Amino acid sequence: MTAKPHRRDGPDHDRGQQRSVISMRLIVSLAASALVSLSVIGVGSVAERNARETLTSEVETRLLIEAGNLAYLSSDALLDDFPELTLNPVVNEIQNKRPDLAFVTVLDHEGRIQGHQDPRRRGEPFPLLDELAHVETTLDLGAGEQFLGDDNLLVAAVDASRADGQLIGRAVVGLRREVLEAMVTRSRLQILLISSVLLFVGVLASALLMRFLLRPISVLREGLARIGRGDLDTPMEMKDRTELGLLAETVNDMAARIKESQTDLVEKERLAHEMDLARDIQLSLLPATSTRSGDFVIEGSYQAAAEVGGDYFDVFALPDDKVGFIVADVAGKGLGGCLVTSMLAVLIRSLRDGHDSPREMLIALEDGLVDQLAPGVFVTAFYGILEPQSGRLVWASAAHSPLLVYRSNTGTVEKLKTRGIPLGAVRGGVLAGTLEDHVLDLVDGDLALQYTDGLNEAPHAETQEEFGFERVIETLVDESGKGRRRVLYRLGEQISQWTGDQLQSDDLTLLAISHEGASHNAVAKRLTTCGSEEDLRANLAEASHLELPTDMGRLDVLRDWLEDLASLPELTADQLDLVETGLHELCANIIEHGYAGEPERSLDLWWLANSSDSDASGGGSHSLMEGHFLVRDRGVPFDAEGWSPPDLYDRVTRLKGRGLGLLVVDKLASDKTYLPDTAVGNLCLVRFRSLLDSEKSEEIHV
Amino acid sequence: MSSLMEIKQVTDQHGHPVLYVSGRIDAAAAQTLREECAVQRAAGNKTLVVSLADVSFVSSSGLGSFLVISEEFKGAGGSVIFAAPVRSVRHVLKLLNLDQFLDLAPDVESALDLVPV
Repeated sequence: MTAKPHRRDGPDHDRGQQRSVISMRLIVSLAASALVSLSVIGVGSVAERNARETLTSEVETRLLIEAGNLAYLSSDALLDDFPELTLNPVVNEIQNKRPDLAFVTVLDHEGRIQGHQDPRRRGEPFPLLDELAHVETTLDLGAGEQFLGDDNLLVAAVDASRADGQLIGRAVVGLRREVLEAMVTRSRLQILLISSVLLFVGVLASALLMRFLLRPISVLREGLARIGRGDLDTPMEMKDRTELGLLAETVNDMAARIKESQTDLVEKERLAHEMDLARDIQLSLLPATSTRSGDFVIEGSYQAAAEVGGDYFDVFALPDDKVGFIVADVAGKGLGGCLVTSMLAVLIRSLRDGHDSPREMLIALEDGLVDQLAPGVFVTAFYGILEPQSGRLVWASAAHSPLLVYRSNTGTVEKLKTRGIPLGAVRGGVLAGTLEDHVLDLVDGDLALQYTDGLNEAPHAETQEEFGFERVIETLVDESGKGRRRVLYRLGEQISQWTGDQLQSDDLTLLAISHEGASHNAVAKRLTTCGSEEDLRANLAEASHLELPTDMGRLDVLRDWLEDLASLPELTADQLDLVETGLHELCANIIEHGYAGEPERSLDLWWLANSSDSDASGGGSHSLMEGHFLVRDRGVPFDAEGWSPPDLYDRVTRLKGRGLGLLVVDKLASDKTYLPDTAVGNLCLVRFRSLLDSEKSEEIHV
Repeated sequence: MSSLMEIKQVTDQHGHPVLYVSGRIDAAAAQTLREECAVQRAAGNKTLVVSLADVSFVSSSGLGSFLVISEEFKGAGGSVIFAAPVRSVRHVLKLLNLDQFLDLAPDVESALDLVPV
């Protein structure tokens, strides 16, 4: 029987089905039968050999006794005158009793027949004795006893003597050897028959016994195959008190344990999936990028805990060019906390446009949430509304972390606490009495930081000491001057070092509200110090440059240049259209008025990407606010002071259809500085407005 | 990138003219557009629909020409409806508050609905 080669790529149970199996029961049964056969045959052959010896010995003994008896009877008769009268009847009787004897005779001392079955042979010599040879025997022969024989005969001869020991004759009894052989054959046949019966019974019994004893192997095999197929619910039924029964019990125990750990595993996977889902939901609620509005940038960062935490923050545009933001922490982790966060996000989206007061907003949020919160679940929240034009931040806090404000003019940090209680902590309108709106004015270089307790309560890797406010404040003092990204990056880095390798136990949310109007002024100030073309070029070594001919018909090259600018933030086609429009109007105005259409002159354009921001963050999102366009011409300077926007409400102005170019530039730019008549020509530095506001201009008025 | 402005005129089933403008409306193209609209006005068309769906760029001269054309038609007791401006053009129109002085429609069909039969 040959086994097919294994299929290495198939599942195990397929192998079992495709592979030829040699039955262990068959092997053991065959082996047992073979052993029984060998034993029976061995015993049989030994018995057969012993039987021949035993029979021969027995026949010889009987022959010798027969001859001995006859010699004894003859010893008196031979002394008579007519011994045949006594001897012949005796010989006849013996011969009749033992037909298997070839002959029986009594000889006198001269070797002549004195007693024989045939009376006529009396007196004849008996030459046969001289023709026979001595035969080896295992019997102990006495005096006057001898065995003679040839191929056909076995003869016992015993001397008859007188009382004084004188030899007077001899009794001779012969047996045909074929009689002995027939007896041996008969005995052999009996042995063979008995052996055969024993062999048959032995083989049958051993085969049946083995099959019976090894029957549990099938049950074991089927049980293991079931486990292999994944059925861990059906135990092996085996009432066997041998080691196989013990093995089956062990396998049943093993299957039960596998089942148990499988159930555990499925449960763990389900929980992990739930956590992933919660984390996905939570991340989907967070704003993706930083938001710039006017001179302000609001940028958040979020690091999820090992377990999904309940942090939430959002930044959104509000009516009247205001920007709203919220930082909240739900007391409760996992999917439950995440669901509260989702509700919070939905509520904020529906309520934010209708509430000018952060206090009112928080109260409205509690009203919306309170029925959904399980007892013991509450939310701490900070809500702020920023007016980028004035730099005024109005805020309220429902037991959220103190607001930290870095003041650029003093280089210090203010820690602003409130007495507000968390949303949902005490029901029945108690919250309203604890909240109030606070007002904060932010100026150039100021940076306000909001965060969740994952920051100040982050535990030390070894001592479990909390990170604390002092370290946060220290970082704000040291890093705020280098930009909000640097602050966010450093705080994240410090917390990571502080907590070491341990799993982050709580979410970490940071939100920086940063007044960054100063960077435009800094660039403009740097440019005013350029005393020569070399200075200018050195200052702009990192900037991308375009030389533009003073030809109205060639202004479309601006688009190609903008599209090729590697350092320009990734913009949508619409945003790129607007930047192109702004630059087009600026350049068209210079060509028309500065150069009065004079051909064969040129303008220079540079795109100055802010490098300091990208250094701190290691990349990340940028906006148009992260750089400046500089336009340089050598034509007639523009009278910026004397310019005023056209009055479009005047029909005459509308009928002229002129003066819109600079209005377009004015509206699209958030910062613009015009430096006429410098040593290097007229310089116009422009930073374009973040296009967040464009979302609000969707409606078309008819 | 340079694509010259083209104007195609189509008349709807009620005889209302629609000008399909495509390309970039810079200073030169703005002048052409004004002239084309003047031709339409001279032909006795009181109302005109100008489709901007395929206009990728409108310079301030173009914006100015929209105001002039609009005022000229209004002066003659008619109107011009600018239809289907792309997002960036809409943004500039809104930014300059020109949507207060121009008749705009999201697409040509709704523009034609506004034209008196």
